[in-house]
Amino acid sequence: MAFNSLVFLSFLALVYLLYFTLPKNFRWIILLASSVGFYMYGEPYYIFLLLATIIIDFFLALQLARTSNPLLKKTIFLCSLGINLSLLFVFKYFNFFAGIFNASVNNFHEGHSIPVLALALPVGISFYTFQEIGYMADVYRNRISPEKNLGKFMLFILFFPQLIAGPIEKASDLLPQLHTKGNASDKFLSGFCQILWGYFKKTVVADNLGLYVDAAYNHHGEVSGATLLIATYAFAFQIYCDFSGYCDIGIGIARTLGFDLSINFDNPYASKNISEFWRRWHITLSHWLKDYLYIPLGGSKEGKFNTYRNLFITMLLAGLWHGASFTFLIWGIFQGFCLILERILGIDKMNYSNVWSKIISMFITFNVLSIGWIYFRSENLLKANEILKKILSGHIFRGIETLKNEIFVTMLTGVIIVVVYESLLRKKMLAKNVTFISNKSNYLLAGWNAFLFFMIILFGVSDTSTFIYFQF
Amino acid sequence: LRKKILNIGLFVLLVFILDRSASFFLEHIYRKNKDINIISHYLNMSAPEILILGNSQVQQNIDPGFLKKRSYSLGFAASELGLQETLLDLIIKKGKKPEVLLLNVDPSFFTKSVKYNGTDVKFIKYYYDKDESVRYHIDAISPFERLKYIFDVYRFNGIFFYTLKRGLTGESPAYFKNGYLPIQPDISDSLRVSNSDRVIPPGEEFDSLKLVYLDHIIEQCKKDNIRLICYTSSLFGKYRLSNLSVSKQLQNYFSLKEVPYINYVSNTIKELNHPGYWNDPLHMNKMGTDIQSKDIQEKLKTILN
Repeated sequence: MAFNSLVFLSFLALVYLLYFTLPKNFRWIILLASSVGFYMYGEPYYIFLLLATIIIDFFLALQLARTSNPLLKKTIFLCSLGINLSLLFVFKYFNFFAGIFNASVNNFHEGHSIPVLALALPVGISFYTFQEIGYMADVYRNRISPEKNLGKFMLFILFFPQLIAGPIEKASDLLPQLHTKGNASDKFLSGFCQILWGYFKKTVVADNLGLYVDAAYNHHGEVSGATLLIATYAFAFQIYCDFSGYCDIGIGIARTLGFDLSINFDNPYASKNISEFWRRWHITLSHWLKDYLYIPLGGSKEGKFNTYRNLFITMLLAGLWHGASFTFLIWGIFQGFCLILERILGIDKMNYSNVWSKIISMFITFNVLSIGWIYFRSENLLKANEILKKILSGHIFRGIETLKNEIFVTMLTGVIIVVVYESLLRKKMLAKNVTFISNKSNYLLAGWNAFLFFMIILFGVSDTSTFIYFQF
Repeated sequence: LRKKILNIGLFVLLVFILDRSASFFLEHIYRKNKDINIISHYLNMSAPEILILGNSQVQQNIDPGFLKKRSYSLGFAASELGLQETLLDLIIKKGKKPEVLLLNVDPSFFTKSVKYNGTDVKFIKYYYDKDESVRYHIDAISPFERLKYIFDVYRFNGIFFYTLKRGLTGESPAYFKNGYLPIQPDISDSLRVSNSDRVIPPGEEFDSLKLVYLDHIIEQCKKDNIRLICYTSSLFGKYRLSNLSVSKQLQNYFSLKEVPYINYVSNTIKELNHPGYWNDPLHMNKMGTDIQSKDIQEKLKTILN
């Protein structure tokens, strides 16, 4: 069930009705039931897979806390890790690696091949698997006590505002909130405002940009290099507005229900280098990778070479986390390479004394990121290489195709509104879950919300498919 | 709680005011300017003898000026047969039916991988509250679709800047004259079109369920005494070859229905096998269009006589 569908809005209205009319003690049950329903709407069978992993992890975590034998603890933790990663591997990566294996083996012995699996990818598997692994790792390291209420643990994983595409919540942040009754009333308006902002970013900005990006990328052989360059820039904003729009909607819905989810984006294109970008982009994934992969690998404490190796491995796996294909692999390697280069050159610790050095750094960083986005957006390496070659061919200032002026103007207007509004948010240092406008008068807040709503009706694309990050 | 109710009440009121005032303003522009878009232009002129209906291939691959009789092209980029069916209904109801309907049928629409749920009917959502048939087809898209039309201004979704611009300038594009939007030949056409890798994937199956749209159009034309002639515009290179099997299935269908069908995918115009006549494998530049238009004129002459 996509957030941008009318089915979801009807579902949400029903959830609000039940949630706010029932006594506070029963509210979590409503949320759990609605979260199961939310997942089952699109994936009626995979809910059993999800519930099975939740139940297994719940009991293994309890067992982890009970035992004091380090070896047994380690065995239990590895058992949970093995189950979670095996499922992720089977559904997401098996066919990819089978394809590589088959291609390699067929070079020597034709006819020997591993059969590929005809399995659909369970929606949100990468997100909820990481959330479960994070929980188990925290219990294993004694950072948190295991949850004793199975229903609330289920809700922690299944909570519908963040189930499909994050934010990837830490148990220490979300679980305690599920035990308090939650005061929704003081957060309702700011949550509502954030929901509208998310819808604006998704339907008005991302989906209009998507029309242009699709037109250029689907026929890359027929359009000019200049068009592909503009389309790549457009994709940079499309994926930002699509994913951060989804997160804003999710975080906003959670706020209206009385829960605070983690912030996932912090004006990432204002980054002055790639290291800073990864502190501002998909923050909960970056934190997860840092806490449960980069630091366990040794982090930056074992010499320069090992630091570079750890960075490289982390970003390579970050690339693969997004999808089982060579394009994501290259994207991850590219990010890792950039981070290592920045460390070698000291760019990550550079001081930006004046405005111009900041602007130039932002521009360079945005362009470097855009090279990565070409691989992220393209269906295969061949296409990505062709697009990059065409952009760099020296004819970039010749003939920009605008698709339709109407769409071009709408997407430009949308991007400008997003940049201005979010820069203002950053400036006011109120990015954390609260819109700056919600502290002003009622009239201003209602006016801003009405403006956003009006823009969504007038400019929103209502027929496009789902959110980009749903595929991960 | 008071603050919350006040805020939401104010929000609802402001949305209502914005919605009604904006739709009033845009509606005013629409009513004032009869040439605001090509449909409005068509509905305000005298009905042509031949109406050409279809997607962007109608807009760009056929010049009505070649057809001798008074002809007009109503082509909409990325539109499918659902829109053509609704549009024909609207045109008939408004008393602008042609004597002959020349309908472009794009074979790629009939492939199983093309999922179609009639959303292109929303190209004419401005008429949602003005025409029953338009409303019926839009409501049929999904059970929730009608909810969007609670807001009056939604009828102008996606065309706000266009409407505003037309309202301010008051000029109508030159192509409204007969609906043909020529693409001027470019030196890079040959290279670009030769490099195109556009194809329908091999093994693509024919989706006979989508024939229901053609059934409706054929019935409508019979009922209203409109002479229906269907055609599939020329396509280029690998893309043409990948459309061959579907176009043959269409040929069988039309022969069963006794509807004349000009199939340029099977029966190519040899000259058009050169990439220099094309802008991309689906759309010709003006030189290519002139060739196809002349050929269609000859074929129409035979069929109509």
